[in-house]
Amino acid sequence: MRKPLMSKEIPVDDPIAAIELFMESGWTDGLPIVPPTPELVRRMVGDYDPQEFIGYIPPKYGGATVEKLAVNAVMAGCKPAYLPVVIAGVKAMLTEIFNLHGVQSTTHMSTPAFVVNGPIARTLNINSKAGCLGSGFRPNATIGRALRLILMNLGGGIPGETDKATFGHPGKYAYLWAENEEESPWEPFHVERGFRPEDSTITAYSCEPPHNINNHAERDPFQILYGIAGAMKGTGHNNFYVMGDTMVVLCPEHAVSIAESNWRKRDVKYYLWEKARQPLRELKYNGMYGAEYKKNYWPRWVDRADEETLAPIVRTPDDILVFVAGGKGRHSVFIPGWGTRAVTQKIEIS
Amino acid sequence: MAQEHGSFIVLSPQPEFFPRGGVLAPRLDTLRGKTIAFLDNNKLQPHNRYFDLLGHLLQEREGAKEIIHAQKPFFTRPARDEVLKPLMIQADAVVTGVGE
Repeated sequence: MRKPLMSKEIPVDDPIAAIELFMESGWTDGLPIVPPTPELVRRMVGDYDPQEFIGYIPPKYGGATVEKLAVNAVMAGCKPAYLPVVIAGVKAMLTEIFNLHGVQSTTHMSTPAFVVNGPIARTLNINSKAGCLGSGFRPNATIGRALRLILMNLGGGIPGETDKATFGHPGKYAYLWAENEEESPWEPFHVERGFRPEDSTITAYSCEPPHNINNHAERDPFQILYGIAGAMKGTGHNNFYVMGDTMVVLCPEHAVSIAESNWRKRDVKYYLWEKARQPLRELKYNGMYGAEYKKNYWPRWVDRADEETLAPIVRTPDDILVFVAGGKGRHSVFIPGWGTRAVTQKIEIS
Repeated sequence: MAQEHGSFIVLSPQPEFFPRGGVLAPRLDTLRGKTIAFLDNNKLQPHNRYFDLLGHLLQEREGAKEIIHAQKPFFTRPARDEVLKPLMIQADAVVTGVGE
């Protein structure tokens, strides 16, 4: 026998009244929602126990059950088949090293981005190719949106109130894509992290918007990656001071060119880590460094007394997360992090 | 404001429950003679001067006995037990805040 739904029932005149009520109540991201009727929520929950407890979402610490995630997934426009990805995304964000409380309330623009790996990305048609970081693809848009609505409604991440972001960024509507495993010359990201190729995972990473790096001229890995390292060296982002993880998403054409010189993904990480550095004299008056803001998480071997010492963008090469995604064209992206760890969570199919 | 009446039913996206014990600590009747701790997020060195000023004011105007300054390990990292537990023992109240 199916367990009953427990959410408060709200009577309104019709679907339009529901949309307006949710808007006026501050329960949306500013866009109209799909009214979460009991029928749609029941269909979204499917064979899950609706009262299965997932966790408390900071900073409001609202209790997240499968049912509550399903209500928000319906609002976002998800299909029921998307719910396991939504659940795993929430679990990833609730891992302590992700520091969701900080991510939700910081003045920084950071927001969680999500990358899906494994067979579920193909089953659900999560876009990993042309335009995968943009608009136009239902799984990318609605799973990403559901996770944002959950952060707002259960976690209380309300812009200008508990969400103290000076700007925010467009990824706060939805920020989800899949790795282009088919066109990657290397092992998928989740396999690199110890999962099996047949596993499906979602990786949550708190970050800025993507920064495009155009390189149509070079086929040589040194030249391609030198340009990417140059973009990573820009001052002002958090990584140079706070470290944590940072992310590079290589387009398939760049990745294949690099791999044709027998470079592995690990070689890419080491090269970028070696080149994406700044002397302390350049970092002195930026970010978290200055007369009073002498805060940093630099490794011990960075000699603070020598202004010519080169500080790395993150503490180790493995802290540079390398994905392959995107379509045709020779554009890769650098996505600066907020300064915490990305978390990869297995997606369990009920 | 749209009204909550009609025949079309939708479910609330808001939480129905919160953590047990997730309630405010008992409020102090007075700060006189009390030990007050400030927990800042460690963006400033050696520590947050705004909290220094507040601490002085609490001692001068409200008669607080002692002010303790504590810091998170880093502003993007959560405060761990080794930071929080001494405050639970030593302080009668803790002020948490960004204070940038």
